[in-house]
Amino acid sequence: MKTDTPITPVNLSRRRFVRNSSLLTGGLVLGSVLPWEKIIASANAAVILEPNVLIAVRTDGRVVMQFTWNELGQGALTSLAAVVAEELCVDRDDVDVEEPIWEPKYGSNATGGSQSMRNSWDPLRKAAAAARVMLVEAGAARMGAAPGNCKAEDGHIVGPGGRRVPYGDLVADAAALDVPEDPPLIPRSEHRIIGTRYPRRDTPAKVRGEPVFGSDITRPGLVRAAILRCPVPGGRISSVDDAAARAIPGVRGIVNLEDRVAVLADDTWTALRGREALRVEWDEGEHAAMSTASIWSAMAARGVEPGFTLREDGDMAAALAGAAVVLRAEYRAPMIAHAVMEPSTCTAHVHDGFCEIEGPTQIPASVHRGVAQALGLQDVRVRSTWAGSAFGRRLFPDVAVDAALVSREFGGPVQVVWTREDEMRHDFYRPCSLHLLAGGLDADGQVIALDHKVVAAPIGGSRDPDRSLNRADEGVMSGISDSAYTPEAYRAVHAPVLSGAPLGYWRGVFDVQNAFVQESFLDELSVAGGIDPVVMRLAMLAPDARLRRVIEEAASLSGWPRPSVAGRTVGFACHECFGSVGAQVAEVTLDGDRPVVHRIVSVLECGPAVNPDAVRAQIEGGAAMALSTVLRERITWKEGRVEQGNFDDYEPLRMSEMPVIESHILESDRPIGGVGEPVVPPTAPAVCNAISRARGERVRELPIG
Amino acid sequence: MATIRIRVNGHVHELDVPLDKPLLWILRDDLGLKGTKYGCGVSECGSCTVLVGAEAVRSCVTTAADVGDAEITTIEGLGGDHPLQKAWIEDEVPQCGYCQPGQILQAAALLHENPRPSDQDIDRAMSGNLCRCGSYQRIKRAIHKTAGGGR
Repeated sequence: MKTDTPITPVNLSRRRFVRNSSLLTGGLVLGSVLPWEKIIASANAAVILEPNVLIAVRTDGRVVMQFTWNELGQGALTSLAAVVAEELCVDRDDVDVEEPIWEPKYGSNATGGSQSMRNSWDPLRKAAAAARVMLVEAGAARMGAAPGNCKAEDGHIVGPGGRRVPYGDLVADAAALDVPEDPPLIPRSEHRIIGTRYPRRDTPAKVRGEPVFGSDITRPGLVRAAILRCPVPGGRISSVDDAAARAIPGVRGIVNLEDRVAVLADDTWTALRGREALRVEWDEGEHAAMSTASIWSAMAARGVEPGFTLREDGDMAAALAGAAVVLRAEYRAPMIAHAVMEPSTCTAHVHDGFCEIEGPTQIPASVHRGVAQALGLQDVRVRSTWAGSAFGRRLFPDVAVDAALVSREFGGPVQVVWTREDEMRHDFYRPCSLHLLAGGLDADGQVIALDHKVVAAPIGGSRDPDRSLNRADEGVMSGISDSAYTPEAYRAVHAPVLSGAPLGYWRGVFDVQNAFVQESFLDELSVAGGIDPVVMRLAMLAPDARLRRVIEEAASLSGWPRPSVAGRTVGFACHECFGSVGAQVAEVTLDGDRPVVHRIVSVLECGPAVNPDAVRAQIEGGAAMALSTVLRERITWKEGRVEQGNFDDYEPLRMSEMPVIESHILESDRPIGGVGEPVVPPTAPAVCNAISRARGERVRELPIG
Repeated sequence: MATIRIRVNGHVHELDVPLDKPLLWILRDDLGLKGTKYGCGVSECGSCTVLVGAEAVRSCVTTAADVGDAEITTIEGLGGDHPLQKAWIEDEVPQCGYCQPGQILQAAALLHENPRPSDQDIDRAMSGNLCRCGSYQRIKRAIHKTAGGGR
């Protein structure tokens, strides 16, 4: 071995590796390890914003992948390592995955927007392929052969006559070579791993209760903090009497953070009892009178005013005036909560001029930024932990900031613990929305006009009300303004409103409610026009529309329009979002007025499916979560407070309500798409279309109650 | 505060704890058995399920006094190679994994009482255990597989 100097490629658009002295230490610490790492974003700040993943091949032949996304249950940790193994021609077991402390060089990945595989697929394969090409070149030189006569296979470079040199022996030579700019990728037809069934790395530990979730972290001297927040958003403390709390044995201190109070104790139970003993009076602030009724009435008032048009095809007024049938309808989708299984938590320790943070997060970079700002401290070391689900709840750094502030005041390590009630009442809720629709049919029952106005708050809009109230928000209109449907006249309008409720991103975001409404209204139109809903949708799509194939496959695989069991009613829906397309068929019966969902056939086309079993798990889980919102989920407000508190009044789907989910993945050569979110939107409209046809009465508001 | 004596995974522990302290927090904070999870605190989600004898119990609403001398089994005490754990691995049941210790222990109690449960038996026994990731279909399949494999 010539040198221990680690060589770092800046990114694949640059021709040469550059030596990175900061990594030298790492190489030495690891002894014989010689990392020659791929696609680190450069020191250039503009590039750092791009997602990136590190790969290193060590002198012992093992491949190390730095996993800089977050494993939230979606299986990204397993799938990304599989991509590396595939392209580097090693066994899956030869790839070690490390989860580093976040640093700017890892970029600001948000494990959200169904991006972890989408944004890694090309750069990760290119980086691994570059490594492979360089190892081949180094191996060829070692054997005195032409690179064209050598190939990578099972962690070795194989040369003429079957001579084999292990990767580890070639690492130093390979590291000295130029990075190929456009290394050939292994074609899909030659994949050994991608698209096959292989075990998830996290499953054995998870069935043994071994993973350390955020709430499982312990460290010497750790105290737990239960934080009392004003039940009204934006409210503050006017007075606090903590004498009774301080008198409880085991309570270690009280930290007053202006608008919230933390009770610190040696253990969780004592911290919770201490919090119950606090006597606080609140200044409830400007939202003290907020109620679900006030939110909806403001939205209804906004709905009659003009909105901002984001898309307008054809002449809507003329198309509606000339239509044989015009249908108008109003739909509503409620505010909902994430209800993550593991309530929010974070552990922080401010000491010796820096702050250590450990907890479940979807954006370590945002935790870093938030904590650094709150403390006025640049040295913040964020380590993300296993997360008891996320679904968008853990995109915000709020809990980490609390933990850091309390740790600084307390002077020791602190773990902030949320109860289920905290989680239900202090979430960032999926916004509610009011939808005003008009549709026109021609004399043959075909849709010639579709007009969809959404009254909803843009997420984050309250940070800049002047701006957000005076424009259409593309996020709010997702799936409507960019819909693939092309009737003669089509219009997408956003009428923005704001309320005092804290809002956030819920798995699938606005596509979930937008698909519910648009696909339900199309079903109404198909009933009015006497046309099969599948036939009607296909007639509204361009010949090359990506949705066509999933629609046809879902119809064919489900036996559409016949249910699989006589007496059931079927419903159809489809949607395109997050780079993928899906179509679903639901079968229901009514038990009195109560719907029973028996079967959902779900077809997803997401380009290549890297780990098909993990994709199926997402299809199953996405349907369950969506069905849960159909049946029951709803957050309501009264006197500025969320009325729900626990799973007795906000009850997610239970096993007895779970239909059989038949998942189908359509392979395609399209660019890779998302999975975790696009599997969600078609479920609610498919189910509600079936329910509406069974009842003879349209479901226009969720939950169905 | 009072001195309690509990038997967990084959070991006897004597501890000084408040009498009303739920077993969940004794297991997690006093004994460091973190596989038992907090989810709701009011017996609505099943994340904190442990076995007391052969029966599934919600440890968030159970005190040490409720348990008495009975043997408590947490996920750490199930052995790691329990047929249910093997089936769970084979079928790739967990997503985030947070609720799964409770699900597995609930399933263990079900199979102890009913070695060959029907779909409806499984629904009845398992519907107190929430899974927000929606792994229900796989849980059911893994229970059936374990039950079938036991014969």
